Amino acid sequence: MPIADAAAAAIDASLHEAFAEACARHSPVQATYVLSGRRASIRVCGEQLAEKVHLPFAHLHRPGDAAAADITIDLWDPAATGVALPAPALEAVNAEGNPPVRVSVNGRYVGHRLRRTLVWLDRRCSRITGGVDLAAPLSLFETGRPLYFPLMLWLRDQRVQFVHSGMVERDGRGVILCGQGGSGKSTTSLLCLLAGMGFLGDDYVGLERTETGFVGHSLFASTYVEPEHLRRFPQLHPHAVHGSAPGEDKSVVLLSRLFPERLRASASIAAVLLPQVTGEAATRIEPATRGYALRRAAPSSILQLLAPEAGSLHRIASLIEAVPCFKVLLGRDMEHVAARIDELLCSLKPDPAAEARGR
Amino acid sequence: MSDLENRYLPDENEVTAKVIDGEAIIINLLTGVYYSMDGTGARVWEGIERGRSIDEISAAIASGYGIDPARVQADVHTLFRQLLDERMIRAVDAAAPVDAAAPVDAAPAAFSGSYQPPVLNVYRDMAEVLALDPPTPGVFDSLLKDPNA
Repeated sequence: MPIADAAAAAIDASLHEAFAEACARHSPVQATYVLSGRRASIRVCGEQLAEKVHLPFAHLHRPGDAAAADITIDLWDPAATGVALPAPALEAVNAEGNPPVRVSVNGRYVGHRLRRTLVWLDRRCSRITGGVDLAAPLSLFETGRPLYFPLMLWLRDQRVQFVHSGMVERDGRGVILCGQGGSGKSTTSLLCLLAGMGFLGDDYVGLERTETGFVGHSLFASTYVEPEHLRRFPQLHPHAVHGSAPGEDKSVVLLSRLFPERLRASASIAAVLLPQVTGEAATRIEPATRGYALRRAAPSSILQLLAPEAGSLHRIASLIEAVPCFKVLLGRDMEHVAARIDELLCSLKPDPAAEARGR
Repeated sequence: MSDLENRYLPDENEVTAKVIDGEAIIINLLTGVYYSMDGTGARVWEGIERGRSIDEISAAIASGYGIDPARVQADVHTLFRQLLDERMIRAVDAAAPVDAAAPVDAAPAAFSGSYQPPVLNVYRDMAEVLALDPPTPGVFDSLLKDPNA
């Protein structure tokens, strides 16, 4: 049930007041980032929280003027500052009988709650305000993808659509790896990262249409790995943060600690790849029809991320119509997968204007 | 009016669709079930998007392949039943305007290859995922609003 506009505005105001109180007690740590080409100012009260929020976005950190930011994000740690989350906010989102997402009737305000996080997005003012309580451990999702819901929603308002895909690149030109869970896109993305390619993500990539073509944007420098991945990629094992709650079977690895030089903010999209595990001996790459590509790429992107909307299918279709599409039939020869993809990328005719845009 | 003369349109309350290189990809945003049709099936879907009746769609396809319309009509009628059962299309008023960009009486171009009955491919894997984490009622409509309005 949507929340009344006045009530949502009051909650927003109460969160701002609480943040101001937190700042009076603890000077905030401020940093600027570039999220999908847009400037974000993030202020955090609580040193431990500041570190936790910074790490998944570290690869997007850029010096900049906080006053010129396109979005402002204000967070505080109730445990560190002694400033509690306002009761109306707690009651509105995920209290008994209420869902974890609340939206005002006019769509301006969006509240989102995870295990230790409660934030409020003002879509009109481009502002996220809320608390992350570190009195208890964060969930794996909060650790690796903080604020994913309000950020993706705000970026969609900026015409950046997130798709369920990975992306890797070489010299500013990349391939986007689409498919639902179990398709092999995460494994393939990680293989490419470990082989030295630029990495933008293995699960979510922001898709934006520009004057010169399509660009993919990274958001989180984190990967969620199953036990099998940790066995396959032992380099990740020492950095894996394991889940503590029931159902948290995966671990999260913050990649900015491991491969900071290989993480990329954005790149032009030269092709759409559709991984598929085959069990055959050798990996093969072959052209895919556009219909096949759309069927493999669109459903999980549209149905699992944010609110499904009709326009999403047409935007993904526009990408598929603009660039070549290939099936990546993954064989047991994992050691050759990255090289195959790198060779394909190098063989695709570059568009100089798109390259310049992607950098 | 008989079934064959009824006009139908995609049910835009539930589905989004795109025909790309002769293949129709259709997604039900509420159930998570998605579909594909190529060849004749994609042509039928394009006809539905233009508000054509079963009769008109069948006639155009039969003319394109140079075959007996009765043969096509039975197949297309069966497909329409499936589309209705899957809540992908809805009947519209017979007097509703059709797509003006494609006049009803335009002669269709000859189709290559031989006629194959339309086939609706149904994929329910995402529906199972959605069932585990269904959308929150009332949220999506508000999230799709322009916040600056």
